Amino acid sequence: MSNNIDIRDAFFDEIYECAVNDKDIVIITNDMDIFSLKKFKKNFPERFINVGVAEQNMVNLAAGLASCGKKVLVYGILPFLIYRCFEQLKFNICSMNLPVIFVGVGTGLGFSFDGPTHHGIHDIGSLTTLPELDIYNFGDVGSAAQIGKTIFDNKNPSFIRLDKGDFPALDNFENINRGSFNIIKPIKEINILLTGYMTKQCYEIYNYFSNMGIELGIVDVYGLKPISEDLRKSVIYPSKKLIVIEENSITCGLGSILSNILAIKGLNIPLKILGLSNKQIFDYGDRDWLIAKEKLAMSDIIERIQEFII
Amino acid sequence: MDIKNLKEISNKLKFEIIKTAFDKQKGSLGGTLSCLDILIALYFKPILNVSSDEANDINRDRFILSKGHACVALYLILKKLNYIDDETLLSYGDNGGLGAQLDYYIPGVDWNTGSLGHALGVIAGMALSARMNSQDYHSYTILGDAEMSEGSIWEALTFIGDNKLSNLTCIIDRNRLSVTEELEDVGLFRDFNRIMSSLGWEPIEIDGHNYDEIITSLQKSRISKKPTIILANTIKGKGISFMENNIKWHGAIPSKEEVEIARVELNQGE
Repeated sequence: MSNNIDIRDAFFDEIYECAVNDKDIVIITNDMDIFSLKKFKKNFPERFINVGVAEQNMVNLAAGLASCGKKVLVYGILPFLIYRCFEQLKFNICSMNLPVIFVGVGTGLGFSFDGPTHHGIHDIGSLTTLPELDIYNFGDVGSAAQIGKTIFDNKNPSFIRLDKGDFPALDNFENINRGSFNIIKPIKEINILLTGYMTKQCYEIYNYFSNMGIELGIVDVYGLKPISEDLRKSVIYPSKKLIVIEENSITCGLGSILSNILAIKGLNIPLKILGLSNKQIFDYGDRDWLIAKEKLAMSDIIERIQEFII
Repeated sequence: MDIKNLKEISNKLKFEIIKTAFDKQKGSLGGTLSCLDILIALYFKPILNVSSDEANDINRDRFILSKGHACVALYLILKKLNYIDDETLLSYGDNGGLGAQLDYYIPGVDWNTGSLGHALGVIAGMALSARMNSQDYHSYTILGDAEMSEGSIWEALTFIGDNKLSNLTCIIDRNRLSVTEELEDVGLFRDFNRIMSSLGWEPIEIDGHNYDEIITSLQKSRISKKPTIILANTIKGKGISFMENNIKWHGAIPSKEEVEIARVELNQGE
């Protein structure tokens, strides 16, 4: 695990490099600004469009631009890119299958003092109903940079859940680019799949159980939709037990996506989802304090995994 | 094409629209007939710089019929202009055939329709792209007057005005009837010219069935320094006496006898 950098910089530095070489790349925002975009704004002001606080028009505008060949990245706080403009997203982006990239910042409980309007804990449930849309959820700067490099090659729309603040670059056990997940520790009979903010807990969890003589496979899943055949065949299907750890509602996140896959495939693989309870959270406090209240502090995670596997 | 010929096309298409509704027992006649003359002017004058030979030409004008429930008028036009063939046209209303809304994979159709309030923001994107690329094409949309209540329309109106997207024209089919009620001069229509001018648009009010006025306004919009919004006063069910301004004909299907009355009124032979 290498030094931490802001995950937004990791992603947007790559986007900037793409934009240097491709004048069709345009960024649209609903009055959001971050440090990571300053260089883009300064050097390509004609390609940075602030539509103001008007998300429906922002998405429609993106659709119109994309239909004429522009490579459009829409940037804003995560829930505001989805809920107000969901029909625009469904109708003008997805049903037209336009390769617009949505980058929603503030995943999970990232805006912990702003309440449920700002939380991104149920959005995956909404986004998975859009057949054409790919969903990414980074837990480390390596995957964020990797997808930033290649995202404009996508032929269909994408939604990127982008966290904020410093994140590690996780070690990739295999050193293989699988495109939507990384195997952090070798696959075993019991495997833990993490995504997003919770991913960085993986080493502590692994080490705890390893010290007890229990070897667990550890996988960082950063491509939530579609779940690749590779992930299914190399991780999900061979597992005797699966554990998902995520900062999403247990009803709509990686866990629910996996439970759907297992049900459709008819696989009897016990699945434990360690996520947030299905409610809108009106508590205000630090992110990790909120997460701890949801029994996702390290001690709780360890205890809950123990109950499940032993 | 001169106005006499456009009027002939109008009568012919009106009857084909009514006959299609009877044959297929489907259609939305009132609102189809109210915007038909504008569509004919766009495609047959022509105003739109488009061609079926190069349907996807990057420099073609863009057009979105936001009120996609008027699709049969466009299907008939696209057939006459060789975008689609007879077989495709005749498939309308059949299982697996053309539907009651427009889909972008139909040649000559730039956008999906079915939900109102979207087209204005989308053509703003198309117009902005043209400006960014220094392309000369113009972007058009026809909106229904009822959809002017949508919040997304207001967001687009202000964006387009503020960004001076003069390469864009919005035509409102002001037939004054929604699905369920009469649309009075409220909201935007309370003081249309003043409101639109103050938002940075060039407002023009016309008789939406007068080809002189339709063509002049569309030609003027093409060289305007501001985005143009044309308030086209129209009549729902235009051209057929028993349908005009009768709210029933938003979705009603004519009987055989009514089709024959329409045939006579439109001077269409057997």
